[in-house]
Amino acid sequence: MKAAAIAKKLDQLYEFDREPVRQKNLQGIGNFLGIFAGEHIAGTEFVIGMLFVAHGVTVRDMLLGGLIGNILAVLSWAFITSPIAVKVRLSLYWHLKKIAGPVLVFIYNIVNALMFCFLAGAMVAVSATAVGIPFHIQMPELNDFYPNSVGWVVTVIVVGAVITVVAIMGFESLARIARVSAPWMFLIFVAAAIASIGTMDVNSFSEFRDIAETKIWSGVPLEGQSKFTIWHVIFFTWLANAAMHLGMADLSLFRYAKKWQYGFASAIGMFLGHYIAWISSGIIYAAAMYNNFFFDAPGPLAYNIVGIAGAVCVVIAGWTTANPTLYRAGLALQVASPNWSRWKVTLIAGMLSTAAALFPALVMKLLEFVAIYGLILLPMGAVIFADYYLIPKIGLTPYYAEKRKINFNWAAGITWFGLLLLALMMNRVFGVEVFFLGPPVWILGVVTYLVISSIYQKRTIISA
Amino acid sequence: MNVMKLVLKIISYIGIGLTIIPSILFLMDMIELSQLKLYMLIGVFVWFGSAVFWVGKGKK
Repeated sequence: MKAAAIAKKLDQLYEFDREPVRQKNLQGIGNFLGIFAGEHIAGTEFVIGMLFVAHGVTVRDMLLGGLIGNILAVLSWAFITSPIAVKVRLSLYWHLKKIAGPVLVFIYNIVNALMFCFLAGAMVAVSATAVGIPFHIQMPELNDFYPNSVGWVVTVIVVGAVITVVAIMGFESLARIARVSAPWMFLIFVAAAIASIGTMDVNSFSEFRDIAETKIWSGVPLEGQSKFTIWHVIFFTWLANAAMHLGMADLSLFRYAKKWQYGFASAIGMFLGHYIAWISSGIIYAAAMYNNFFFDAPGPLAYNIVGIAGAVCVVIAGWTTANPTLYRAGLALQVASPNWSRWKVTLIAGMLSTAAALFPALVMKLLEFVAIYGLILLPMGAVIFADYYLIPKIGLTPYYAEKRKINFNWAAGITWFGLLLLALMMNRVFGVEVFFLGPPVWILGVVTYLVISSIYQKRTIISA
Repeated sequence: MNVMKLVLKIISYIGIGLTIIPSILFLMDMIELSQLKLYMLIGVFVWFGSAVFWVGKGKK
């Protein structure tokens, strides 16, 4: 009875996209290029490039590792996510429901909502580092875990409250500001990096190369930071959006694509946002240190080099990306509160995000958080992949929950929870860093789902 | 394309220019950092003051 009620709630929430996308609603390549360009030049880009510098990557690690990682990410979208999306044309929710059943999708939604809240929290914190500049608040530093000043707490609460209220009042208006801001924000990254080079006594390309090798990506981590190699850069860059490609969240996006090849549109977001912007923010951070400006927060760093335009960019970059993330969190959370209106769940999501943003660790350990976020949702992407391509080939039934009318597909559930437990063990017991767990977890997810399905499907048929 | 939109686009591109060109001039030692910051701030107003009327207009 409870499961049926949950299923009804979920179905009502996602009612508008219950059917596969129709031919007349398909979108051209331009829309996908625009979405990827806009979504991947975010507030977090200011932090990620900086953290690579702090973790002591070399020039080769950053340029070659970033290139390889981004190519792998684009290939993951193009060859894994979009081909399934254009054939099935269902959102992730409906697709997963057919495979896993309503109860498991409910759990997935809640986990996803919490991840979105933390992500929005990181954006709130990024914005707060710029908003706090005129008030001279004490900014968080690289190794800070807990809030380090009353000023920081007050700033985050004010920024979080404003962002939450705006999200409650209207998501659409800020979405439009995000579209207007995207090209300008990218240019601010590039301009700030060029200006930063100008502060480093560089008069020729060979001098810049020397500075890049010794002062920017020197290969020496800052105090208290672990050493990153090219493998860290490759795996992090590949899996920064793992939840979207290997995790299949972008089935909801690419179901509108006319052709599966539109998956390659992701390249624009990856190479502008996750390559040029990361490289730029690394240069900005290193140049600030070169000039004895020791700040680890993006707001003061951007303000220092390009003035108010930089601070405005940090606020807008954090705000415009926190807003849709809060909206998605609210949507996912709404399944847990049947009679609550959208504004109430958005308020809860905003409060959770703001509470998370109080802890500077969320920003200063952003690389680890992003890796964990992707990892948690990856096994379900593997389940979708296996169910679509492999389950029919070995004589089993795809979309098992729908066809057998079950609420919880144990094969999918055991795959998800079992793989997460295994990942935790590999990290805690065997010391495998979280950045490297994604691909083995995904591959093991495919295998595990096939093996358990072959046992589970036979048992449920016999017991029926 | 109507004339108004064309004018707005030209103004926006000037805003883009004010955002990126000062950094190149600063790199080439042709302007000071304070001038760079001022031009980029003007670029903020020029870009947002014009782009908001045409970028992404009508798209959902």
